[in-house]
Amino acid sequence: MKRYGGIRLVAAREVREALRRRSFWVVAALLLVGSTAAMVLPEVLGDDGPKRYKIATVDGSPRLDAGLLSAVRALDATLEVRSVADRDAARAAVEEDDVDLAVVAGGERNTIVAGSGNDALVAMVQQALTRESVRSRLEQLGVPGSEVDNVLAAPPPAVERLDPDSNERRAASGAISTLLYILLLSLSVQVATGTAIEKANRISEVLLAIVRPGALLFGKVVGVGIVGLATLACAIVPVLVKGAVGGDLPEGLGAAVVGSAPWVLIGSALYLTLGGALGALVERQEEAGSAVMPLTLALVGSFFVAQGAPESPLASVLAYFPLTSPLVMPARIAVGAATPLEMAISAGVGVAAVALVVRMGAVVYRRAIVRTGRRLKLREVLRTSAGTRRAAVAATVRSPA
Amino acid sequence: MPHALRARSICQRFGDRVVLDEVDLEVPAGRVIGLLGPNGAGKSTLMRILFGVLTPDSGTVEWRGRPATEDDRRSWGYLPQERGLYRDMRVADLLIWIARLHGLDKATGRNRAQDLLDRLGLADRAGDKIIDLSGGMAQRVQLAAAMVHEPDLLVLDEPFSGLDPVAVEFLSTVIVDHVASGRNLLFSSHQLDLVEDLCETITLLDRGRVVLHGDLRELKATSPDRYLRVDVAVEEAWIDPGLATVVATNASGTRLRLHPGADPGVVLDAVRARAAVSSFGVEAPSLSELFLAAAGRPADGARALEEEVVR
Repeated sequence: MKRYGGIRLVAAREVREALRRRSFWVVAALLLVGSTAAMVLPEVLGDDGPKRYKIATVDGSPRLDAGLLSAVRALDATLEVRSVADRDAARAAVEEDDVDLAVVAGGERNTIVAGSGNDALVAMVQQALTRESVRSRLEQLGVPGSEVDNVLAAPPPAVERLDPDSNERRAASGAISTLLYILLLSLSVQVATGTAIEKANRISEVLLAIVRPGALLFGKVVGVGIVGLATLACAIVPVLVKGAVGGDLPEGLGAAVVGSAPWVLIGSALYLTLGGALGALVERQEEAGSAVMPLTLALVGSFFVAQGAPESPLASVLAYFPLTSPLVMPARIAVGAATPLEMAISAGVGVAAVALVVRMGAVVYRRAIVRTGRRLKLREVLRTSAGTRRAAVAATVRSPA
Repeated sequence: MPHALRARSICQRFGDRVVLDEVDLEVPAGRVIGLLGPNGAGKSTLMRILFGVLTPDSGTVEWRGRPATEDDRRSWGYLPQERGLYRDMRVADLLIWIARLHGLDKATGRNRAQDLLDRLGLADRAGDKIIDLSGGMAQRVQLAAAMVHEPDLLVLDEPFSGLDPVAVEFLSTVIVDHVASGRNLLFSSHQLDLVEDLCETITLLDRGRVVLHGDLRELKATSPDRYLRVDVAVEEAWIDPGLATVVATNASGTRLRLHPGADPGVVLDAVRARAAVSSFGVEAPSLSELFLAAAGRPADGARALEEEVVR
């Protein structure tokens, strides 16, 4: 058999059996539908056309109507003006939500009657009314209407907002780290449970007589990983498709999805391999969850940092650690806090950690999977080997005698 | 015929516990070999070492005169003591998958699986999940999994434990057929009385050491011990303690161990003076008695002792 034949067959079995489980299809369908909806719905709802505001006026005039029209146009909306008899009628119309607001003209000053909310509309109408009263007062002072228009046409000050997409970026970062958190947590538990089942049911003993321990461990890691990434793809593909056809993506989401790929792979390799090694320590299947507790803690910790403070100094440190970078790094990429150097170093450390964990994981797995009878401690498995080696040396020394 | 499989000077310890101490094992071709001994003697550990599941502290495993390689081991078939099957897999899928792990292609694997399921009377359950099978059927599937690649060497760890008499008979036939076709077979058991008629060659293991090995018929013939079997219940007081000792009394009669040089006729006369004997015989030791003589204690007593220690 070819060198990787065992891994391939073990992985293929994992994938085939997963595709037979209804739970896989349910989760995949939910993710696909949810993600597609999140991508498509804003576009569909956006085609509703401009909003239409209704405004009631008391003692209105063509110039008032023109002012109101310019106010709602500034909000990309259309206007419907209706006349009411007096201030009380205007109040009643607003209270019953017949109109969005009402303007009572005449007298010393105009009055805007509005309920709560509609702040933007109130501000624009207020501005329009102010402009109108300035204009009529200037006209009364003898300034020609055209000059007044000239003066009032001066452009308003531009607003420069720093970090304009901060909220969108934070949302994208939150969504990505949530998804990765759920993915890595469920997959590492799945590998640990699968390994524990094989050990508890002594399936591993049959298989170890046929294939190498490494093929069993990494076949499972690859198989479960492929199934997990396929599930993740159900959530990601709609985003990529929308980006590819030029749709409007939340700021930072596209870059984060693409830029996170290395950490998704590094994280999967690390967490799944460790899950398999820790799963091999247990005696009964039910202990698998507690065996992966260290992984769960690392995931929960990095999840909170990725969610709460992806730009903090703590996050910039955690971005270098292999067990925390898979969640923290994508979040930092999404908020735009990751520098190329930081990404390169973090990815390098991650790849080195994968190489190390793959070796250590295989050793722990190989030693632990055949030792049944009680739950093993990681330290004990690593230490026993030294004892066994000493015994082997002693036996070799003794045997010629 | 040279030994197909041979293990030499195997030593294995777990922590401070010595599980195997300088154990030798030989499996000559064409014979039914029993690796026998009480629970905890080290039989399963030795089998795991044969298959490379465990690496021994010292000692070698040879296959056809050379150290056994991974490819050699993959060509063998292994039925472990505790049944291990993916319970959610379908029977035929599992067998085909195992065949492919052995390096067979899919079509060959499918044919072999079909053949075996026919032979083992499981043809109509090929599409069922293993979890839906009865214990006896699952056991047959496990056996099929060990045989799907037509192994030259079949190693069965405690294949008879938990089987009903019909299943024991069926499995014995499979074992004899395998050996009759010129291939090699090793099985282990702690139920010495059950496998007494099946074994041709034995290796008796006790507390990690080989206490007796060889051709079973020869071992019996050359044993100095002789036993008198009578079909009545004999009381110890009837017999001169210098001549014989009662070793077992049950519903079908009594078994007495004759002391060296004792005349069986004299002992029989002593019994007949007290009770009417209609059936008797002078016999070589049974497998259990051979074990007792070699290990200095009964095989079943060892088990009881161990359980006491555990408690």
